[in-house]
Amino acid sequence: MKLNRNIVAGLCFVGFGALAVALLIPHGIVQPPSVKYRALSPSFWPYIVCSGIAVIGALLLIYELLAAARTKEGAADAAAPATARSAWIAGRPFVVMALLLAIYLTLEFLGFVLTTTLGLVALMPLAGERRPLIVAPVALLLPLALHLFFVKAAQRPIPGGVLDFLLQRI
Amino acid sequence: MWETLAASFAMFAQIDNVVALFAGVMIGTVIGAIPGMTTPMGVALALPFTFTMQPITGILLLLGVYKGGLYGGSITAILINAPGTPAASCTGLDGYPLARKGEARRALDMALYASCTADFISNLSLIFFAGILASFALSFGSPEFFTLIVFSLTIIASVSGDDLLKGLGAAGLGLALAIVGLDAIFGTPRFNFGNFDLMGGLNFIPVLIGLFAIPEVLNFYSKTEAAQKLSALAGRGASLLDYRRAFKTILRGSAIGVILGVIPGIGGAPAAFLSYSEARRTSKNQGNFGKGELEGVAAAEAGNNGVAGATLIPLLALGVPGDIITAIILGAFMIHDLRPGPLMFQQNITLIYALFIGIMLSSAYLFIVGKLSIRSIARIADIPQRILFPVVLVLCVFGAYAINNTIFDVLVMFVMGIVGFGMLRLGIPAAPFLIAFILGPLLEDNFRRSLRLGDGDWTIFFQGWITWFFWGLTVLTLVLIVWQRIKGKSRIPLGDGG
Repeated sequence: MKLNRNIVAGLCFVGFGALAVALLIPHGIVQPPSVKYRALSPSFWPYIVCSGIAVIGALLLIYELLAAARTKEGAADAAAPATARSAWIAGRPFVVMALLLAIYLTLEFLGFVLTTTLGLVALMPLAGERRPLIVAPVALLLPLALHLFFVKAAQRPIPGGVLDFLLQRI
Repeated sequence: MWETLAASFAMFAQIDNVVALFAGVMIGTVIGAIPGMTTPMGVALALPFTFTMQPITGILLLLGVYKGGLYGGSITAILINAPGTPAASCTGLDGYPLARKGEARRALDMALYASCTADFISNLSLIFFAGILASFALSFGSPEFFTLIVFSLTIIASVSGDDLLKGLGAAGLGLALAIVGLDAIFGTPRFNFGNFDLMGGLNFIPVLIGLFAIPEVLNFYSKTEAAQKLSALAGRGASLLDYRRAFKTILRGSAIGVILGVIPGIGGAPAAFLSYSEARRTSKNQGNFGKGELEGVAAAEAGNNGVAGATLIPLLALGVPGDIITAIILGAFMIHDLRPGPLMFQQNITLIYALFIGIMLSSAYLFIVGKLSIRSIARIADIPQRILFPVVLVLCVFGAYAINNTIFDVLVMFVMGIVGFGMLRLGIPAAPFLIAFILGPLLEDNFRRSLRLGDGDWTIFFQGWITWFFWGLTVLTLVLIVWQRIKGKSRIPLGDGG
């Protein structure tokens, strides 16, 4: 049987539910010294919810196993890949995820304007926009405009980071 | 009576009031359309400006921001799948697919028409049924709330599309995520693992931006250039025929919005999803829901805006704020030495009627502001995606931070984005996750409060006609869902076959 996305989803649900029931709830929920009724306990609801997730995952897996047994031949035809995508295209979301992590880690130190400017300079060419006359103005002006809007109009204290001394003069 | 009405009209018909209301609707629409800028934030920001105004002018400004914000949230939900409010995420279910088909303007038009109609109906209900509806809302205790939310969770079946089990699993994950924070009864930490930022639980907005907008961005990067090309924005807006076809849905959604709106603490999101669910259940184009059905946009917006006038009913009639926004508006009343409630109807009836006149006019203003903005805003859909998506990402970063001024919310948004991308790849619908995440705390709190009230006796969930009414509706809905699934079994598989 091939590992289709319903089976992966089922495994994820079962895995999460089992992990929560076995580890996350016992170690992640602090119990008060005395609880009058079991249903009032802080862990009662989480146990119900997480057990339910595991049961749903198991049902999904059983359904898929039964369906695979019924349509074995048909599934083999359907499993043929429709398009051959390059490894680069398939890997691009992971590059973006790495960029998201880099953005998060540098936001406070470099400040929102500089971090997102650098982020746009990396993200736009990655998306296919390589014209400097488009990338440069968007990357420079958009973060600055957003910073000014949130700081001046919405009065939110957006961190300026290393450019704070400059941004405060605007 | 007529003298009072004339005095109220004279009180309202000042240029300050007319301008303040219009400005409020415009500000609200813009704020609602920006991811990260919430309507309560907009109303709170506008509050200090009302201190020096006349009471009627200040309150009308705040009401304008409120009403504009409710509609504005749908704009980015339709155009870039980054809902400005939790309720707007329901509009995005069909609005965004319509925008991707090049029908953004049609979807925006329908959202506007449904919003204005529902807002108008909600205002009428405020004026004519304030007393009756307020007493109905007062009869809601924890058991009634619990059964209402159980009934609301049946929406999950509708928004799960063809993948009911995956939808239920996603809802379970949403409920699990809603547990994070401090226990509502004992105050003990749950799933915090010593992290201070998790003490207050996860904020809605970073979660919903992460769940809806970021996966779209990541998904965009996983496609080839050819696959990214979309049809250009078609110039046609929603026609009168479109509106007439969706009229019944809009009326039903408005009624749902009004009924849920009067109950304190419910808000627009459950009303939008419940209206959507009902529209899908009764529609001839059931299979098209979630893929770009105009009726779905109308249903969501009608439910969302139907609460607008109704939430003012408990505020004006009883002095009880139903949500954060009405709590801020209550603050505005009190700043001007006014105390909403039964006494206000006796002592300040002129002001109440003047407010009613302004509220009715706000529906017309909403239409004008919406119509003016759609033409320019819809052009966002024309921006090439290779520019639009990186820009959306940056907008989301600023927006997620601006909610609570914490970098942690940006991290939450990114993590939820990656989770959402995984869900997208596995065909797990995001909407049930969000509904359960929104309703989860209400469900658990009312469940436990009821049991405490009933001294551990479970029969408390079956006391009074309201609980029986909602249990009945829940059972009826579940039976209908099962029947529809059995009827369509030969056509619709339970899973998507991978």
